[in-house]
Amino acid sequence: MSWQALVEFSQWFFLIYFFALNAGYILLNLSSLWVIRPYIASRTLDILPQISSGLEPPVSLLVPAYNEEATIASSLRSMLQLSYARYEIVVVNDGSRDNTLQVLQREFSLVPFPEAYRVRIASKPVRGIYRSTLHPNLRVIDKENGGKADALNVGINASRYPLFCGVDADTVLQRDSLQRIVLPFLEDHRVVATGGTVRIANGCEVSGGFLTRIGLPTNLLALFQVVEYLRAFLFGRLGWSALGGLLIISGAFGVFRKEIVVEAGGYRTDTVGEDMELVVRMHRLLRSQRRAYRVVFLPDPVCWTEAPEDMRTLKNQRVRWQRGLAESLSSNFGLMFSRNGGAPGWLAFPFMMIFEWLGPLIEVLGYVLMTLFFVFGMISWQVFAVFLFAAISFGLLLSISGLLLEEISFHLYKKPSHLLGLLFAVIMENFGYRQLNSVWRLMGLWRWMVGGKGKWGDMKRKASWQKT
Amino acid sequence: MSAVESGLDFAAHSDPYIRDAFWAGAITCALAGLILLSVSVLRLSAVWRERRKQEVVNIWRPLIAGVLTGEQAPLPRLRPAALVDFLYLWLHFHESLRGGSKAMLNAMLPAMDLLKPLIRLLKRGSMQEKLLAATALGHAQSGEAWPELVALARGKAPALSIVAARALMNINAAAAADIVIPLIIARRDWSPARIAVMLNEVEPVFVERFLQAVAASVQQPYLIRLLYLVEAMELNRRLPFLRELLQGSDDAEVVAACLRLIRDPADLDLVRTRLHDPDWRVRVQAANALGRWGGPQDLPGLLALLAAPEWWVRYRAAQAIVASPFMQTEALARIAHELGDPYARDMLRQVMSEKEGA
Repeated sequence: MSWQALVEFSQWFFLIYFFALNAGYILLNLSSLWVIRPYIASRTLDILPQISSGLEPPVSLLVPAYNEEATIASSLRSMLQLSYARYEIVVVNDGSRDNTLQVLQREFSLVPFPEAYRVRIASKPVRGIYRSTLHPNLRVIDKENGGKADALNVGINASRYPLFCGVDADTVLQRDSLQRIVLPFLEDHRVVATGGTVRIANGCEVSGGFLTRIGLPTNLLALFQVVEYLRAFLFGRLGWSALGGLLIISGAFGVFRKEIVVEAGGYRTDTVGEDMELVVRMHRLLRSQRRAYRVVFLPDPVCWTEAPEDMRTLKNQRVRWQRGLAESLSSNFGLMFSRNGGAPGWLAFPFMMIFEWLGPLIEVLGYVLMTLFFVFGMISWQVFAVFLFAAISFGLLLSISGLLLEEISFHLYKKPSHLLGLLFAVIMENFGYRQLNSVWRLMGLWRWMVGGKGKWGDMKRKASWQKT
Repeated sequence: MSAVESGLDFAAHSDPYIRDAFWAGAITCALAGLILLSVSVLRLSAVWRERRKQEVVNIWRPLIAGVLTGEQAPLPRLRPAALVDFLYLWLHFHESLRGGSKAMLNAMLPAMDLLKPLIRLLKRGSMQEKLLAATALGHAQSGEAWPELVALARGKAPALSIVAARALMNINAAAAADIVIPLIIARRDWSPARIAVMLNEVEPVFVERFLQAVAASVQQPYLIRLLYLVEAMELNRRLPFLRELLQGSDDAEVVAACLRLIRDPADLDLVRTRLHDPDWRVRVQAANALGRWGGPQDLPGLLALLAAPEWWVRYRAAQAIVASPFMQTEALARIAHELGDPYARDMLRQVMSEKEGA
């Protein structure tokens, strides 16, 4: 193949790839639009005061904590005030090196508890189990450090109830979040997992463990992430859920049927993407057994989390996410095009492989090669210009679609200044931020290829939104 | 210099790549622009809706509060455009109140000539409007809306049909029973939680008819769903069909549900026969039932369950033992000390500790 033919092939390949990628997302967007309006309409009466039916299944909230001394007490206080009939909170201190356990002991008056702990999923040794004398539904498990997945497995072992909800220790839940996210289990016995929307807390105000004012962050990186999260949750996950191919439930807020998770072997401890890996593995298991099941995403049960505001932390997060994605897909390759794979195996898995897993490689290669071709005079400036124009236009369309879904559905950012801020982010994230993200994700892919042990993500928390 | 000469005429360029990529980008940009326009329109309409809602709240909140305190002043005419916001406010009051105040609220709707507009909404409104209208008409016990509500209750949309069914039950529980009970049995898409809420607020005549339907369904595959609903009704009384089921059923889920519904010590003989059931879910519920209603004679059976391989059986058996009014702390400590099985001992100690901390 001559150089000229190679250049011409590359031009078309990258353009078609970018087009296909964005067309795929637009289809997801349309599928979200299809379900979100009736969903919102059917929940018309939910804003009225609700009466407990008495049928709500009890839930174990599992809170893995590693070096969370700054935020753990306020997070737990908000969790203790959730409006839900019956739930317990199991905090798992994963060998924190700071004073997480001491803070818990002091704030919640913990006493040692002779629990008949049963090991259903193997884990690092448990050092002690404590019960709060102030809140009968709060227990703390102290264990040797083994990572977030290991902590969650211990939480599953110690949990009492048939459903468990994994919640990050720095997550702020809305008072009715649990009530809403459990609803699908009540309405359909086939439901094995549900996920809720995660939103960015930077710029908001939290008081007494609950969100009291919604705002936008002033930090540009965090602002871009607000738009990213809208896109990821409102049309990414909602779209896949509508198609029956949801492969991700965020570790920050998701509910699972415990027996299915135990049957699947619990969380894998050798991956950094334990939340996605578990969901993909559950699909693989249940599909192979030809069992009727559903994994559901709900757009309205909201939890709020702090987004990184500095480049280094953000980069680490994105590298970790991409690596987690690669590990989740590569270890469950059997799902793809499997005989009984359905939407997860025939639609979602290949899509993730082509556009999420290999995506960063092709995107970065596209930008780099086209720039090199232009610099070395192998393509005209017009070719280079229209390539950039098309690539950026596709990105812009996707970003603004997320905003459209937000306006149609929940409309949480109410002030005109919020809308202007979001529009600014929608446009500006396409000039550098998204490309940078692709580079970080490519680094994640590289880390996955060279291997190495995953660990808790170091997150620099400012928690400036927390008033008390 | 023309656009063609300068190479800026991307739209009709001779290079197909430049032309196609340009058009792809341009169409995408145009779509993005359209969406931007939609976002702006949606935002403007949201602002307008919010203002209108606030106006309705400002005017009607004090008026409704006045009605609730017995004020007799005539109410102003409600603008048709304000009906939906008014309904939200009115329903908010309704769902927050108990007792006689609800009757005062209910009297507001006919007094304001709103029944006909509400029936119109039922017939021709959006899903949101139909839900609001059905709920309000049910509360107002408006018989005029009966045919429309029956049609909606039998309709396809589960959220709407269940709200219409609830309205029928509010209007005339006895007449609704013939329509709604078959729907409760048949409709798998109705949320059990919402059915349970309806059953908990309905008149006794409907409850009796429902229990008759359950008793007539003992051989049916959907029985378990009905038993869960009976459980949610928290009836503190003996249910005669439980004996038949406990004596005759082999379905572990059904037997476990029946054991949860036991409310009479007279049925304990049947509970005791289930202490050695091969299905652990049944043994869990047998232990539970003995914990609630059992006597000292049940202690050996419960102690035997403490050695069960299933964690939940041990846990419930320990709870039953510890909660028994005839067990003193010293006796419990002695039993725990004497237990040879370490799993049984650990469980009893755990539950004793839970009780101390409660």
